[in-house]
Amino acid sequence: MNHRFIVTPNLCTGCRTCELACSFTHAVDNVRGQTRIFPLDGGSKDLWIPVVCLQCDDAACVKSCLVDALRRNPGTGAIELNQEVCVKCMACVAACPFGCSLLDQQHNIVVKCDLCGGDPACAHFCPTKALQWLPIAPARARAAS
Amino acid sequence: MNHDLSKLQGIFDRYPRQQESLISVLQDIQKEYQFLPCEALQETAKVLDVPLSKVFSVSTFYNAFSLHPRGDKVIRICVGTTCHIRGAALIQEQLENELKIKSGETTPDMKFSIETVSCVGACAKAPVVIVNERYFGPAKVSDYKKLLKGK
Amino acid sequence: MVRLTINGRVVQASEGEMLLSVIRRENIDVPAMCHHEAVEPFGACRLCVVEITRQEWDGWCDYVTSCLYPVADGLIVNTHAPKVNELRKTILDLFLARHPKCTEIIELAGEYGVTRTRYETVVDGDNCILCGLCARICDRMGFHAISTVGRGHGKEIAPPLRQAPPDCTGCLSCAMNCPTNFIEYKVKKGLLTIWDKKFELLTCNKCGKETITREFAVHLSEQRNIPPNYFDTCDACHRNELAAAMGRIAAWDREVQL
Repeated sequence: MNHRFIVTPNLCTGCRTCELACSFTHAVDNVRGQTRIFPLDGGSKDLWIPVVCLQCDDAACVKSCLVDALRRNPGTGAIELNQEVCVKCMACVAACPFGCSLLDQQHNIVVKCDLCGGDPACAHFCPTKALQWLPIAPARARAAS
Repeated sequence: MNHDLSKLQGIFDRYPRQQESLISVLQDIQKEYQFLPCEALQETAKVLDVPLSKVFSVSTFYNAFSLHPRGDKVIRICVGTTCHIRGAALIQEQLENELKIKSGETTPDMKFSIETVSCVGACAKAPVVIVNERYFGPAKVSDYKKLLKGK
Repeated sequence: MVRLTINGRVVQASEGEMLLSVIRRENIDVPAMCHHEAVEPFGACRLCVVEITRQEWDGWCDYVTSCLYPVADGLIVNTHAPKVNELRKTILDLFLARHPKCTEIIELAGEYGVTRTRYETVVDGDNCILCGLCARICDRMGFHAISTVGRGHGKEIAPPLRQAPPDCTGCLSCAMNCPTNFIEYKVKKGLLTIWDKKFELLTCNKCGKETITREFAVHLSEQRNIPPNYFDTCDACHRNELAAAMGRIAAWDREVQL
């Protein structure tokens, strides 16, 4: 809970390394998984925004889940989807206003960002540090400066 | 087919409005109408606050319940082990031929229904045939006229 | 916390957990068709049978369905003892006789070396193993649209009165979790048909992609307080919207804190 994603869009080159890192980290049976992070067009020239789950406080995905498969991990603050409990009704996929609950078509499972258990691979692999995973205090300092 | 559903209210009033009353209510409806009309099932689900699917599940599970209108005289032939050995199948065949219906069916004039049941606990009197509430046993094939009269 | 031995390995489990959940957590492959963590264990398919014993049982063993057997201190479990494999083979053999065309059963039976059934096969049967998982999940979702109907040979899964189920919202959870993929549904021209009931599929107002049914969305809005407009757009277009919104902010100060 004491870390935040820090995104600096003007550093993002749209190289999609974060996507690859995510996809490999979330491989199922040695087959690449669906990426949970999407570097998307930010609307102006060369502006890329990595879109990833915001782990909302009052999350639509959690509210929409009728079988309580989505629970917040108190350690990491991530809303995690328990694959064993999920019944693949697609309620969270449809309900998330940010499109960050999604269907992994290859494995036919619903997936969402789980912050890799507290150490997100996407931030690790970002070559330009456009996406960083920082403790809250330095993050605040950076935001303030 | 429309049925007079006014009697349902009285049945519901006999039992607490909870899930546990379901079978008792269904039994009373069955007694009143000789079968469970589909509107009655829907009403039961509503009143007892039990999902309609559960009401349907219960009413199809027990042989004592019928979802189809039955004749004035319901002839139940026991085909349990003892009755089977003592010739229940022959009686069934005779009655089916006589009424020109199969077991589980009702004559077009709504006078007779034939059903088979598995043991009614009267094996000492096997083969047993029950006409409405009256037990006949040991029944013989040649008794069919008596059975149809129910006397 | 209780400590038990599974296939020679000492493992910890919490009180009240069922054996199968612990076995699966230990990454041991025990087959089960009727099991789903979202619903209470049911013990319908019997495939998760395991051998249990205890030190003080002096070599005596019991064979139990692990999905229904609570963990206990000192339990010694063998998930693939010769007798267990024999039991599973018999169960799969019976399944194979009843559902000779079911690919899921053929595959699983093959894994246990059962390629031909020694029982008489059912010719005109279907692929429903009557595990009731669909109905149990439907109940868990709170819809209660389908249930088991009838008994014995005539038992089947059906909506009430065998008509289009009034409580079904077309969430497809039944079909998605059927262990033999038996529950059929059709999607055609923006309409979903399941259990003989037709549902209108919502389409994304940006790209036109079909999402969930209108009934399901209405249910989620009403029962779970999800704003109805969340369902207007598909997940991909939602992400694009978010990127565009954040892009506008980023254009001001070029830094966004998530």
